[in-house]
Amino acid sequence: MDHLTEAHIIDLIEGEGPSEAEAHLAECSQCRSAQRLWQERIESLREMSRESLDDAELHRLRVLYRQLGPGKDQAPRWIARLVRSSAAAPAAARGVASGEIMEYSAGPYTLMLRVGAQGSRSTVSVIGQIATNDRDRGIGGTFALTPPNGRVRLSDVDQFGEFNLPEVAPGSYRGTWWFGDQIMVVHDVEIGTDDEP
Amino acid sequence: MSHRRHDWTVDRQLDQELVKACRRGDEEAWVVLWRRYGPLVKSVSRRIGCDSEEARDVLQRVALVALEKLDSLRDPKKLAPWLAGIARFQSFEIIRERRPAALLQEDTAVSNPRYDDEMVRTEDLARLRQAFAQLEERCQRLLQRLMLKEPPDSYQDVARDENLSATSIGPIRLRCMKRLGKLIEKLSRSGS
Ligand SMILES: [Zn+2]
Repeated sequence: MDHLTEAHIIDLIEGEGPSEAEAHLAECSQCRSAQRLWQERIESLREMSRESLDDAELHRLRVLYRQLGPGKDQAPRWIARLVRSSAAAPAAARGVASGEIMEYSAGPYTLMLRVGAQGSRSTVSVIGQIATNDRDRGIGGTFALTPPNGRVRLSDVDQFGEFNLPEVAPGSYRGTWWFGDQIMVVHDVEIGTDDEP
Repeated sequence: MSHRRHDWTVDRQLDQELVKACRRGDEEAWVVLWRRYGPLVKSVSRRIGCDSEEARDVLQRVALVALEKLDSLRDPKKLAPWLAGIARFQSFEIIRERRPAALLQEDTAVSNPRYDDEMVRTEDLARLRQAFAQLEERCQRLLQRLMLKEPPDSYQDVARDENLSATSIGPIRLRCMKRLGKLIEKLSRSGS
């Protein structure tokens, strides 16, 4: 018997193939691997189908796009502004330098950022805390530091509002926190190190 | 909030058009993009070893990175492998952050035992999803209902809804599968 056609193989997978086809399959490794390929494809498609998004997931993605997508600057979101810095003279009230604590206010939330321990290759860790006095609002979600070019850094925010981004290279970043429908953006976060000139 | 799942098979707008629309600020295109590729992202993440909660987080992270980087995607036809690659990276990040003890190496990921021998690679999965989205809509609906849905719908029900005779369903399904195979080959050849 010749090799099985694709049609035969697909029928076999569905348990509908003729018995000669099964007999051929038992003897022919080439057709068996063709069958395996189709089985994997179907199983992979089933797997993805099971992961179809639900309303809640799509809603969060929609919110993300509304808040951060192109041309949506008019949408309500909280732009964090600096309210306090531990530095003697907050240079132009911008961002974080090593050792300083910067406190931002955004809607009902307060965000604190400081630079922690030195990491490898002149990177630092950025430690943050998000807090609110509003008991109806939860804390959690994700905090991201986005450089103008290069790698976006992300950290989960735990239930106490704490997060930690290790190995952040010095530079200028935009910070974004999102949790459910809520988004906070911090512009011009300057990450510095002690040993900078 | 309800947790109705959305059909992932209904549209076949080209990826490059979706990307263009998303760059323009078209929210509906963004939603279509994620209905199409959200399941891919979550599947990649599950295969790498994330649980379902982590896979949801990976989806959010991938969406953020995609939003930040969409303008830098040079070839929008490569949207699927690009997203799958980000998903892969973010999944390992999440596992490293949350389960440092797992100490995963990229190539020795905790994988579902079903895939230990024949693990379909991330790129293959992306290609498969992309090819499926390029099938004509009737094929997508048919394959979804007859082969992917668990349990599948009956030939009779599908025939009725599609205005087809029950005997034609089998041959059409077969044609759709062959077409899918061709599309996958075409995408492999173009190096997508
Ligand atoms: Zn053979």
